[in-house]
Amino acid sequence: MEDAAIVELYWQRSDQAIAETEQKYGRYCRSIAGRICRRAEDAEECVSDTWFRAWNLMPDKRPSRLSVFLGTITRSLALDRIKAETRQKRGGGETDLALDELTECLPGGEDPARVVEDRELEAALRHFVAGLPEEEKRAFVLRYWHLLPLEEIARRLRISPGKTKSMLFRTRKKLRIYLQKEGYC
Amino acid sequence: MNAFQLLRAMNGIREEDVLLAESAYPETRRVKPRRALTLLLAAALILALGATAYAAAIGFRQRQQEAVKEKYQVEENHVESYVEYALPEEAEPGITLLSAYASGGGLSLYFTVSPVAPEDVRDLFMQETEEDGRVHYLMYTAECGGHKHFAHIFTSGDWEYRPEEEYTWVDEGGVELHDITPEGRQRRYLAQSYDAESRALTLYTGIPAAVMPEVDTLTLHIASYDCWEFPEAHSFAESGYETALHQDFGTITVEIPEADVRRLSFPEPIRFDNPDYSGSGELLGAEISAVGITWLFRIDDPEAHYELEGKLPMDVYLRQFSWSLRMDDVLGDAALRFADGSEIACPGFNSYTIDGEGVFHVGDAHWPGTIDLTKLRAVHVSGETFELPAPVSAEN
Repeated sequence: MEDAAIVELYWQRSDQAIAETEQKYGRYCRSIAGRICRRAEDAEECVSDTWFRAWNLMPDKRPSRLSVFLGTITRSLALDRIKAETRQKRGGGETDLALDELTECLPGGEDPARVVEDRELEAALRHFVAGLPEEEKRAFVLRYWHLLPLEEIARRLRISPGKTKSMLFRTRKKLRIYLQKEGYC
Repeated sequence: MNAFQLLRAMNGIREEDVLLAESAYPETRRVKPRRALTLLLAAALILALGATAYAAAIGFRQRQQEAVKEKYQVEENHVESYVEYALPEEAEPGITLLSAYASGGGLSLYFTVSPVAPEDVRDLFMQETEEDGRVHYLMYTAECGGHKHFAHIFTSGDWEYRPEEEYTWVDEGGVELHDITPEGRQRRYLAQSYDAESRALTLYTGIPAAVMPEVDTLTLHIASYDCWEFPEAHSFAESGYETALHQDFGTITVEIPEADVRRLSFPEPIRFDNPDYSGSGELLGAEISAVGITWLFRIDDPEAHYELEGKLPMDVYLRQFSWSLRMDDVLGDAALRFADGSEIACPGFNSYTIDGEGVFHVGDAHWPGTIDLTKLRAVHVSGETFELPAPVSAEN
């Protein structure tokens, strides 16, 4: 079923909306949640919560790209879940690795005193990612939005893991300089 | 601000940027009409071979990919321009891309072809004598841009030939040579390069940089040919020989990976003469990849330049051979020096191609496996040492 038709089901408050979403995007959202959450049952809860949140957001919202809309919700739910868990302990996995890598981008490498609005930071990142060359952008988004492991990114982009690693390193350096220039310090 | 906020703030990137990255996902590459045909072929393959053979076909290709990766020492030597292709979910007849490696000298491509009958698991050194007395060869080729390049059978790992499979012979010049019998070669190929159940054979081909297209993709037509004369050319299965199409495996289009090459242009070319012919030569520089080195020469002797197609007239062949010996002399003391103080000698060369600007790309590899380009610091040749700056890398 096309995205527009599924969105219309939500707007019509049809029982079929969730079923159609599950069929088309269940696997996609589970893969996002699975890469972030440490336990399968947590990932499954995130996916279920995604359908619940989507139901509450539509109507009002009429997303043109349902995959990105749903994926963003799943991603947020999963990250919030592990943030709560992280307060207790950190135990590895791709998300922890990604967090460690992104810490390099922070000027000074540690939490600053300055308070930054989440939306301003989102806008800054949106601008930064939009300006990246295509292959760099693909690698960066696959790593830090989709949280894919390096080997998987290399396979999908048909480049070596070594080249993937180097490319991400250079992009993170660029992001660090960009954030400093934008005053995030 | 902390890393978690950064990670979460990635939620704000543009939809089209998320989708651009997702377009690299294998699932989104499927085209519905082809999927129907793929399913039909997969069903036919399963019926023909059985479900276990079908799984074995995929496993064989994965094992071959691992063998190629090991050959290039990708992890140990930080080999950048090695690419592994996603294997199709279904084992299809025809061509399956495995891996590629790009250097300044060109592109090495590894792939399987199927179905190949066991008796066709042969290379050019496994000739057969036919009833009429003619010697028959089977030649696998990869054609692109009007040139047929040899496709060779890929072998990997250690292998022990049986005593009866090895022999020595004396050539016309009285030189004793060591060789392997056709039966010995085939036994190795059947064991290492061929999957009997899916009838897939692993091949590789090298496309020289001088004949690569000026675009990002390469389309290759893979086929095997019967021929009755041993092709003399280094890289090309020339149309000047009598050939007959044996099996057509179809075409494949490959995205050319970016070559990881360190380039060196000498401040002053190294000049030399050839006492056999008038004219002079210059060594201009070098391009070094993880697998080999390509020296760049300019030869001021138009007679030494040749067309890439057809058999060489003997006088042209002799002229080129003379210049080859002079280039060998220039490269006699060539060596690469590394950050840890080690050095490997790389004298001489194996073959050359001539680009559109008349520069000879003279290529060779004198080391087994690959070298770590990030640790290369200097090139020594013809009595002079040329320093290379340390490259910028993730570790620097």
